[in-house]
Amino acid sequence: MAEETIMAATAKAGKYLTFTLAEEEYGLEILKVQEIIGMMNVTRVPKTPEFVRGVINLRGKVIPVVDLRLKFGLAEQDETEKTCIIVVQVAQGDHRTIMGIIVDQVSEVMDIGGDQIEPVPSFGSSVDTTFILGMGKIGSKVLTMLDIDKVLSAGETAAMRDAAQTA
Amino acid sequence: MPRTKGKPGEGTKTDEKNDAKANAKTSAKNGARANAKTNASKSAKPDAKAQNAPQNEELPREVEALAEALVLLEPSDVSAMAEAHTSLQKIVESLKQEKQERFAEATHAAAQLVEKIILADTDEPDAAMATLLRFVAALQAAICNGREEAECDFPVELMPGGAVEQPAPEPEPEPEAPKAKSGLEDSTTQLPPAAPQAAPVKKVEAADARQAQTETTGPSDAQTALEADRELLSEFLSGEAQEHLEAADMGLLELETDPSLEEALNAVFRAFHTIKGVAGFLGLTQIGSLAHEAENLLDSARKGELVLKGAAIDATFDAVDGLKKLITEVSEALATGVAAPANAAFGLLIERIQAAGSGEALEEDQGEPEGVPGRRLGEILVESGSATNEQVESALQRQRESDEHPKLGSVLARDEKVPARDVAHALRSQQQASAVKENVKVDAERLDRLLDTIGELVIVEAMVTQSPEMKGIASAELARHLSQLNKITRELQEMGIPLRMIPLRSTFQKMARMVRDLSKKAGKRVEFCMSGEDTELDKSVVDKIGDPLVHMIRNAVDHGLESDPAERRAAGKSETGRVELRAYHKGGGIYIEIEDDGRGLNKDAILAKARDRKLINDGDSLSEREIFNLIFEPGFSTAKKITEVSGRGVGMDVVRRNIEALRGQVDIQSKPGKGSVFSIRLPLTLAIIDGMVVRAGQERYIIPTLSVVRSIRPEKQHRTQILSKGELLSVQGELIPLFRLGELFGIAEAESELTNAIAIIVEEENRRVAILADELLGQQQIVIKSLGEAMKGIPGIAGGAIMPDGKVGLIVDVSGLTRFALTENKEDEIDTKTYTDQEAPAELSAGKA
Repeated sequence: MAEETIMAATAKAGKYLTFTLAEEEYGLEILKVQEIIGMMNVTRVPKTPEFVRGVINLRGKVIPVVDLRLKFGLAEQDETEKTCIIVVQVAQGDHRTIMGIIVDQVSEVMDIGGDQIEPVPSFGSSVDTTFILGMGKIGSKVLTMLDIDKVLSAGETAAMRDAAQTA
Repeated sequence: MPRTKGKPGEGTKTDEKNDAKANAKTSAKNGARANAKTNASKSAKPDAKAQNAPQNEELPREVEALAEALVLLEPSDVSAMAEAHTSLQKIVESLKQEKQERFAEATHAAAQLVEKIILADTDEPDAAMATLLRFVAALQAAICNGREEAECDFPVELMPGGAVEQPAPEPEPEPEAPKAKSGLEDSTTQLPPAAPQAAPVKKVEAADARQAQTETTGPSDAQTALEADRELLSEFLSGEAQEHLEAADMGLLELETDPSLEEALNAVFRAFHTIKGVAGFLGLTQIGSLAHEAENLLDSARKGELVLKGAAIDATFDAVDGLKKLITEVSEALATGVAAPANAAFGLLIERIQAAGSGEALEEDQGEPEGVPGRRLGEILVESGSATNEQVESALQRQRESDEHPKLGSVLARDEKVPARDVAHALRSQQQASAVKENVKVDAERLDRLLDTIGELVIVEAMVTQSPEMKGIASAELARHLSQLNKITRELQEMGIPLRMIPLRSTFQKMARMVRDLSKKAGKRVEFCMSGEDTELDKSVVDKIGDPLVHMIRNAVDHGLESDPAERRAAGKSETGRVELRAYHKGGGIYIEIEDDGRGLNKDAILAKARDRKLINDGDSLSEREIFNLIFEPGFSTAKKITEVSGRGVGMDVVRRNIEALRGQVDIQSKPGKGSVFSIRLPLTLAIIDGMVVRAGQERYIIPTLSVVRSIRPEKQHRTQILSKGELLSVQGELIPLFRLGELFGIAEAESELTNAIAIIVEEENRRVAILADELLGQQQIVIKSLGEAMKGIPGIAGGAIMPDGKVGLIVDVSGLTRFALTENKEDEIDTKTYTDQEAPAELSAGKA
């Protein structure tokens, strides 16, 4: 059991991009990140869940943008100078799509070793933790490491799919 | 490998069969055959010695290659069989050079066997294949390993003199042929002693003559014809050959206008190929070899090694003319009994064709008529003396009268007997001024990138020319440059659109095939007609339209057409059902229609089902169109039992979704007992549309101009509220539903005061609705962008577009929007439960599942 946990933790070890949302630190596998862009004009798309802010023009490509604060049920916040969009590549089934996620600010890129990763604590069935890879402990800081594929596919893409089915 | 293992076994079986047949006929014959065999092996010995050192290194290599190719060969694979045939012919030539006459003849027989397999002229293609395999293996042993003939397992039926089961007469004219003619009996043909080497002196002379013939012209076919089977011959000469040559002429005419037309090329190739085959069978060597040369030439054109134009197409026309002449000669010889002497021009003609094939265009022997742009075909022909004024007049008349709109050239050649090559020349001189057509094959991906970039350019151009800063600069020169930029961008865009267009032909042909299979399976007699298969559509549309078409046609055949012929007869229809698939241009779109003359849709059954499924309310009064459209509802398709009563509907929601994903619409017309028409309307291109930009609150939406009928500023007295069913707007006496963009899309700050807003009247699926927006911002060309996988199929939104200011604008999917609006109303009525925007779709999909 313990060995398995260690194995799992080592598998998650690597470079992470960290960012903050409502004072909390989160980590995102750097390999999933395509680029980081400043906040830009987002076109709202009707009939989509609230956390989908809309679509943006990324150099001629139209990509959807998700507000991670709203996705995680955090309080909405006005954009600041530090608000930015992390463009990520998300695996959906067998194909990849590009999406943007709006975060309060990006912090740094850090190496997280297997020994710094703790398994996801259980909060009971009421809290969905499937999109958390683990908790990173770096010095005094605690980092929630996100499985971005699951963050963006579990909730909103499925909701959008459903919408699509009905269309 | 199992193939090689299996084949010899089969081969033996055939041999046994052959033996049995031979036995049944006459045992004496069998004896003769055995004799022939021994004779052959004995006499072949000196030859076999000589084989040990083939001078031509190509020969063993060719044989090896053929042997390898044959292992994997399927009789049904015509192109591979054709290659094997070519290979065998090469071997024949090589063997002749090596003076291996005996093997050459055998190989020639093998080639003919291949031909028969290709033409499906044999009852047992597998057995024939087995024989072929055995022969090639034996040849390999003899040529490559230097074995003697007796050691190799040559199939006797292919060996000269050992021909027992060969239905065809010897390919080369035999001196004994007259005898064979006089006594048509099999036994007579079997009688002459077998191997050529063992034949009397007379025969040796004949062989010499034959050799000479390959070098010069040899005996004319007319001479041969007098010695051949008259019945078969006259059949070939009077009907078949003419038909094929006519087909070749027509095909060549088409090729003349566009050398890349594969269909036409194949038609011409087939014509020559068949003539060659039959001529070989009848022993008409001249016709055979002429057709063979032409076939070679066309084959290299098919492989893309040669473009069929200029000297090459001239040579092909010459071949057709030459064949016509030869056939006339033979016919005359048959009629009069006097053979025309061999024609010296024949050799020259063959040379010309070969030269054209190898790319050395011979000097043009005649002065081409000067090409003057804009001249009419008829004028050119009259001028050059190829046709008379009357002929042209009458052809024009015919062209006008005909429904098929044939080309003038074809009419002239077919009905007015103007030589096809003259027509072709005239066509060419007509085109010369308008540049030579050449084709370049381009990777589809590259093309897409180019079109994407053009799309980007269009966007950036709009950004630049419409930017406020630019507008602030008052410079006439700048304005001129900008308008030039605009013009060029537009031109570029217009040039880009047809690049991706491909005809529907292959899709339609697949449908034809499917109908055939379906009708067989269902045991229904179905007549399938297609028209407009040359209609061109964007490649991606053509790729994606296949599935919906398959579905709809399958429905038409399976459910639409009555399965009982008696039922059809009772309805006063022919017992054979009819399904028609057609495509045509109309307005700004392409229409694809599927029509059947079956029992039609059952309105009552559909209504009952829809009520059952709560798709409609009991009190709803629906128009015919609305009723038919119900079969596209997702809930409808799941219940198979009922939809079979209604006749249609399996998976129709998928059909509609696929078609709408292509920004198309589907519409149904049906009359009980008379049949149904499913009509699909598709946009010409997927990538770029004209759009009307409207504002609602702070948001901008684009409505495809194609759907917009007009826009009006509504007045209070034109609006009617009907209970909870929504608002109606009276437009020129017509009451149409009114939807507010702001409400549907939940737009904050949208104008709620009717008189301050603007109503855009759109028409989709022949139904008009008014969409209320705040303001009309203008019209512009937009490049449609997908919103990505995750955002696919949001109700009412067809996609996104980059606006001149760099932001994204959303394109309204008008039919989706109206349907969505109507559903929302209905949902409210049924349950009086109000959904939030997010819940509604999920709820609906749950209902479907």
